[in-house]
Amino acid sequence: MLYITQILKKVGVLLSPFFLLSCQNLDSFEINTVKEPLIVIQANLIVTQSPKIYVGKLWGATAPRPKETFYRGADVELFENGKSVGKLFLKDTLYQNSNYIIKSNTNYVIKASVQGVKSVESEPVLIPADGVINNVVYLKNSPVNSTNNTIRNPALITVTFRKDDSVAGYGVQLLNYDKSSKKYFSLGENIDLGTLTFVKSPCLFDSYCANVDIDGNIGNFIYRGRTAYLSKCIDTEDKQVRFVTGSGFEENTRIIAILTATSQEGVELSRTTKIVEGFQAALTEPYPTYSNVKGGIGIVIGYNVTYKVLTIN
Amino acid sequence: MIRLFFLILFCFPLLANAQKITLSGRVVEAGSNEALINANIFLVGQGKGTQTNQYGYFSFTIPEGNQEIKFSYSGYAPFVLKKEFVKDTILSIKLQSIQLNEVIVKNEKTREDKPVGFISVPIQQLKKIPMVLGEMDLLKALTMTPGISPGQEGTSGINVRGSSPDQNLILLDEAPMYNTSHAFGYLSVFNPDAIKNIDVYKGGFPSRFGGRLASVLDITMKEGNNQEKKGELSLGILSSRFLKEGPIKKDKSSYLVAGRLMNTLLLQLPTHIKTATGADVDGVPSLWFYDFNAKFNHKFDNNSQLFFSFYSNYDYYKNVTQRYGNSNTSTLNWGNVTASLRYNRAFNNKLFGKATLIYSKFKYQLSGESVLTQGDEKIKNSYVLSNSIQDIGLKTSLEYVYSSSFTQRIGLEHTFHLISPGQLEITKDNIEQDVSFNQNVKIYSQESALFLENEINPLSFLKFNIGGRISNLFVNGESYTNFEPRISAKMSLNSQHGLKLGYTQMQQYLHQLTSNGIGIPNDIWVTATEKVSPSRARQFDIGYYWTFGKDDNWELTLETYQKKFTQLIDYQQGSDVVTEFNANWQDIIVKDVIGKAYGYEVMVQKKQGKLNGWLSYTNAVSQRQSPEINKGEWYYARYDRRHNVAVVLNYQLTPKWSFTSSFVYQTGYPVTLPEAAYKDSQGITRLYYSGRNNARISDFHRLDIGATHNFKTKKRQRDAAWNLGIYNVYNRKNPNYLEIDGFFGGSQQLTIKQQSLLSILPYFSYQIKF
Repeated sequence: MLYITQILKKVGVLLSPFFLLSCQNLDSFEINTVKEPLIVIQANLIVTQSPKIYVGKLWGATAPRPKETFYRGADVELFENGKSVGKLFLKDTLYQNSNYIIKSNTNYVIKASVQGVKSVESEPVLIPADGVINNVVYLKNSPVNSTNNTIRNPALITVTFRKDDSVAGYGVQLLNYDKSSKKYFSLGENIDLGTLTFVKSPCLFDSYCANVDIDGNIGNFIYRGRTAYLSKCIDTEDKQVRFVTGSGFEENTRIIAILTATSQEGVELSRTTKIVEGFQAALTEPYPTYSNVKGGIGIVIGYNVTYKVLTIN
Repeated sequence: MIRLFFLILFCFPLLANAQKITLSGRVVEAGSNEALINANIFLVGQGKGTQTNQYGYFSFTIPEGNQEIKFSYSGYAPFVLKKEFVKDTILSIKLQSIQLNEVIVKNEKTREDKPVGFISVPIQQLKKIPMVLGEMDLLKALTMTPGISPGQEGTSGINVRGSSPDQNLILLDEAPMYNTSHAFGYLSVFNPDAIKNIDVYKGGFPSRFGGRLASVLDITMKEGNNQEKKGELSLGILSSRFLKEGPIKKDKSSYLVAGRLMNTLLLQLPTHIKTATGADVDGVPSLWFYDFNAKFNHKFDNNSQLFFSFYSNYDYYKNVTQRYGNSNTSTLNWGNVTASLRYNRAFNNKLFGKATLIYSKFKYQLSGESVLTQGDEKIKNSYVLSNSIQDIGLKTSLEYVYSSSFTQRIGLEHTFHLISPGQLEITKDNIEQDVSFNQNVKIYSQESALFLENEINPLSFLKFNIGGRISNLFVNGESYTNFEPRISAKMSLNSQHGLKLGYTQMQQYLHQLTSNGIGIPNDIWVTATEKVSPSRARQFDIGYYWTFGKDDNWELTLETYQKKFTQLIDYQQGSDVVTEFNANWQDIIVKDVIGKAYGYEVMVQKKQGKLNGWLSYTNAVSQRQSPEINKGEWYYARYDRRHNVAVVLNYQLTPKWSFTSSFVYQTGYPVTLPEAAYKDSQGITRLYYSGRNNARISDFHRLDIGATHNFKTKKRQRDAAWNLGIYNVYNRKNPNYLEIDGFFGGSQQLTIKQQSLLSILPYFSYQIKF
């Protein structure tokens, strides 16, 4: 699309000498008002955490982003296996209920209404079962290197987890805690995937994976862009994932292996998210973004995060 | 059912009344012997008439005795033959051309003689309507008539009654044309000097035409003057053209050659030379086109004639950056070649036959190449995405005139198609990649058809065209056979009022996949396959005609139509052949899309007088539906234009000076645009699209005015003319395309700009005949 626009632009430049008194005009094409206001629901329901739900609004595509993108005074309710667990109330920018904890193997529905806007209700979301990491193994002298052989003394870390067929997919990642900067960094290259991405394989998807700190606290931020495995494509009971890293770890370095079990909605969202989406590709027809919010837009996904810490000696 | 239908059709001859005298022959232009198509032949006082066919032949059965026969053709002085006819007679009628400034509608009795949905505007009249930079453009001028609208500015093709451009059967001397646009659609590919006639069928399709769902544009090239050598030269701002014609052997054979070249080719020659020699150039775009027509014909005798016509057009766009031996080049080129060899024979005064061998090829290619110089080595990376379609076919038909009230046509056609849909070639680091990533292999198919057409005139005020067409496509071991009934009726309520009806079923075995983004011709032609079914359409239309005023000088036409489409194809949402270059086209389409189009068309025209012209209004809706698009809801097709208004006015001030003006208004076309923005779970602003074609581009309207000054050159008294005018008089900023205006991450705000290319613009051109 961008290429085509560039061509048309050049053609315009090219033809302009012929147009004598003609000149090119650029006018703003404004989409500042929303035809039909809709409620946007964004919720990651994470086991052991209390529900935090964003109830947002739309604004004109070419309008500036409003200071408050969420609705105040929304009526938001969470249902567990068809029964209400109570209303959620606005705290900061999210609707929350700190008295309730999300449970695994449980169906949840979110209902939300705002005066003057069509009410919304999410499809039932089944929260994934608890994940099981069998082991995390470190091999200092790795028999394999990274895809581009860029690591001088490669080491291998394997993470083996148990598959549960009721879970749609699993994302696996390693984090390393850097003492000096006191930050966590993603570690290692999944060499079984190499350069393969979710786009090219029907057995992979682009997952949101949890960030877990050394004390087991699940971060609020869920990283996207981690390649994850679809359970239906794992044909063994246990799945081993291999990461190549450098071997220059300090003594007692603690590496966190995180297994994020994702509900089906995460897979569906991944399938409809296009790499080239964004403002620069705004005039390219997108894939329809998956939504499980009836009457509105947005997504409710269930996660269950498990981790294991490996200390390297 | 089909057998019964054909049995009934074949039985019609038995109902025909035997007549004693048959007049046959040709009607040609005096001075050049060019056949006149659709010339009228009337039996004065008896309300009976006929028309010449595409080759100027006619056969007309009349009662024996003293009769008065009138031969007429718009723009030509009528000829009346009063004679006692006692036996079958062969006539050769020559009509003298007169200055055509007043007559708009070609046929004096168009409303009676042609089916509902038929349009024929004299070429001379179409040439008067000013188009971009004063270029004469027959196809664009046709969009001033009801039911026909142009694609978006800068795109190819025309939309007829809410259909896509690929659903138009465009025949140039019977060979199909797959591309009609020059310069990204700013001009159409037909050289107006080389075209003799355009018949447009929007409905009531005779069964001799098939293979498309929406319309037929039957274009005939001039044959060439077989009396004397003639020439024309025209110099315009955008392009220049020439025509040369003359006899090879007087009265027997003639030739015509015509060409057109975009003036940029010459202007940019220094840049092309610079590029070719490897000199540094920085992002230099170049665009040029040409088209070339040639036709030869030979008359063996009064009854048989051989024609050979050839046509080629080509567009080339290139953008080069070349520096220090490194270069980046993007090219886009497309072109069409057609050829037809036709033999006509009047076997006797009632039977006319023809056989035509046709060839057509369309190729479109998008490519990019980067060359990096490292020492003595040049490293080349490139891609070429090409799409082509090639046809070789034979069409034969016989036309038998049983009587003045019954004519039957039968024909057989067979075409071989070779289609290369979106084939991708990649060179990486000087190594050509073996694998075709998208597996878009060449497809061979064969399309054949048998048609039968009956023109029945049981009563002086009633006329039917009843026929049928059996068509077949054989592709990859799969065979599709379909029957397409065609019925149209015309009834004169009295001398001023008339009604027309039409019902047709159409079948289309070839599809054009059109990107849902900005649609310059990155569209690819594909065929029905074992996985993709042919498309079908049914159309019902009804028309009312009223001539009024002094000498029936005014005509009101009102037509309404309803069309249903089935088994259309479209891209999946978010897909097209460029963005999904690694996918096979059959894997990124939605099949079994259904569609509906309906609307009404009104046209009021003043046919004669110093001031003449027309006003047309079209109200049209075109929608599509598929479970896989927009959650199964009906959505507007890209070709939906709700309101279309066109006004054309001509004024003949003096024999030398004439003025013309045209105004056009169209509802903006549907596009897919973001409707709103929202924050996702990561806090990132994302865009919300409610579905395909959820928005519309701004409405389009424009007023053009022009003047023509005809004169004789001083020295040699040659006919010459200046055309002067102003395009887009009130400087309307019509949308050309949309673009994103630099998004900067911090602002989190999308800015879209609408580009308007053609503002107020004076033009001139000069023509001389020699």
